[in-house]
Amino acid sequence: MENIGTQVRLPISTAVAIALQGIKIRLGRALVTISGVVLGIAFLMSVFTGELISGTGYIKGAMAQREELNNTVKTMESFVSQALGSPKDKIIGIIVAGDLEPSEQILAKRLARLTQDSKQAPKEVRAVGLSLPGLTRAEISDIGKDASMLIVMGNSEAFTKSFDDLTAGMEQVYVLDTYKPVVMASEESADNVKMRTYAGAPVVVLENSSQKYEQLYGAQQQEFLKEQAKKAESARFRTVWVMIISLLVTIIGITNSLLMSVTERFKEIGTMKCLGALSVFIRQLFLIESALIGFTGSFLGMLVGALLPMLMYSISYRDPATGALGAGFGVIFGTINYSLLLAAGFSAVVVGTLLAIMAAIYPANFAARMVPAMALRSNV
Amino acid sequence: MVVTKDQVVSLFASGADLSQGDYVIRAVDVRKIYRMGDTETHALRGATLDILRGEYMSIMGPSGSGKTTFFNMIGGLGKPTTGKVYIDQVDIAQLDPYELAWLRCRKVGYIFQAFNLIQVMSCLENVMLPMAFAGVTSEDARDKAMEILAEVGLEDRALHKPSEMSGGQQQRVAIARALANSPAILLADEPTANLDLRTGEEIIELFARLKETRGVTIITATHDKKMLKRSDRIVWIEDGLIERVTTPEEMNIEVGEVH
Ligand SMILES: Nc1ncnc2c1ncn2[C@@H]1O[C@H](COP(=O)(O)OP(=O)(O)O)[C@@H](O)[C@H]1O
Ligand SMILES: [Mg+2]
Repeated sequence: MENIGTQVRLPISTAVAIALQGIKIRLGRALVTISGVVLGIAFLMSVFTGELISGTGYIKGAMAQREELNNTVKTMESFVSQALGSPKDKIIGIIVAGDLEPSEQILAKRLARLTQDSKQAPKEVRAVGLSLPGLTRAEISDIGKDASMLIVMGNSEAFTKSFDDLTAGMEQVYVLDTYKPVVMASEESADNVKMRTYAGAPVVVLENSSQKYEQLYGAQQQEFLKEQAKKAESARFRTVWVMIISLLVTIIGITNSLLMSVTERFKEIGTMKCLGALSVFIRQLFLIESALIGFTGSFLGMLVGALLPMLMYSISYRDPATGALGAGFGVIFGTINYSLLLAAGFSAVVVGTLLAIMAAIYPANFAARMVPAMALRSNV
Repeated sequence: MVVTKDQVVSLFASGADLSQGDYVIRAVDVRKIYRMGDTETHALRGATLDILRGEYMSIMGPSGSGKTTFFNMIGGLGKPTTGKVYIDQVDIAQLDPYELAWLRCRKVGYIFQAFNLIQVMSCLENVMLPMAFAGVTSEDARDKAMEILAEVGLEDRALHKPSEMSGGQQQRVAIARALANSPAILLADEPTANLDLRTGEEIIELFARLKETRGVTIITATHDKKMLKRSDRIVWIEDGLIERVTTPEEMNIEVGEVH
């Protein structure tokens, strides 16, 4: 067959150029398809970003860290309120030793605010060691006098004063070490106080403190944690489910729009085949068109899905100590893990592009199978 | 009138006697049956025809007679149910998809009733496309496309989109595109059906000119007798059968007899 040669395969760049041209001209349809991808991938990305901000899983989010802090403070507060009932007319002694943890700072601030609140105001909040606004300073030996509760704060070992001295004036003894929020002591009287070493510091722990702690919190807290875990589990399941559905919808959307595009272009495809296009080329054309749409859509979707949750969380963020709005931007944008965010964004774009290519396989094969005689049909 | 295969062959033989030379296309007893569910359409019932290199042949027949189907068969766009088609002595049934694509790209230029320009491309890009498929570099393709556009009188419209042009202009772009890889054969299926009479005649004149300047074989289908006067031979096709092959002169005599 010396008369006939074999058609050459064209470089991908030719198909890319022609596919781009097609997208540019049929921009309306391309934009609709792209916005479908944007929605799907934005959803996927917002789930990733949400996880990074407030996730409770192994990716501990910026918000989750705050939340945990908040919970710690709440735990300590609830100890205070369970032990004291209403702080009204009570005396609270605070021993500040060394630097305060963030949770301790928040607790201190809240206690300080408590003293300004006339209805709930305790009779007195006395603190020694570090002076805090709103807290009066007292002699360390007098700290427990008539007090309903002692709170030990700070990470230092400076708290070496005899526990008997401290608790001498107390009717009931409640000691809360907020450094690691544990109840060190909780008893009717200070009679059976023993010295123990705690976190390297000689502190006093009442005999049955851990038992009392269990009574006060243990079961309750464990129940609470279980509940939380269950909720998180079902939320995660729901999220994954909705994510899969939304990606499926995205795929179907792309497939549908490409099929329509193929049907619309029967004649064009047939004509190209008449002009010498190989089936491979036609297949490439549609795969590339879809990949371009998928890439553009998922890139935009990735941006939307990352920025929107960050903005929403930032705007709605309340300071745990004061409950004030406005500090959110610093917290969210300052603490989010950018390398994980980048990795999530990259995977979202890759996933989106791959899905778009997958969605194009059927329409592209459909187009590639088109017979060139289609071009001559006047009724299509 | 029922025509047997033998009669068709003998009719063809009388046409082939008109001249000698090599055949660029030979169709031998081509049959085509379209099956759509239970219904079978016998679009071609055994068409045999030899086409000489460099001749201008018109295929004449009413709508639905099988002209387009015959074009598909002799242009390598579809496979006959039975029968053989030779293009340049090559049995096209023997070709693989790559060779068929090569043939469509370089041996045959197709011209369509509805022009079939790629709407998203400019005229120039439309003309460059078959060259791209042939692997010609885009600079060479651009130069050659401009030359061909000049040949059909549209060099100043090169960058326009098909939608910005009249039907006659679009068809001339389509002809330029068909000529891109200098094919031996131009196949035009009712190229003037979507054009007014005057524009249609311009297209026919262009074909006649291309036949002279390029020596290209031109095969056009039409159901309009006014389009026949430039052709060397006229093939009359009816109900999937080639009824007779005539010259325009013979046709004039016939028309004279009828009126
Ligand atoms: N792809 C097809 N599938 C089924 N029937 C077809 C197809 N193409 C043409 N036909 C039928 O074959 C017959 C001949 O059609 P065609 O070759 O298009 O005639 P013409 O071009 O002369 O009008 C018609 O009856 C037509 O309906
Ligand atoms: Mg037809």
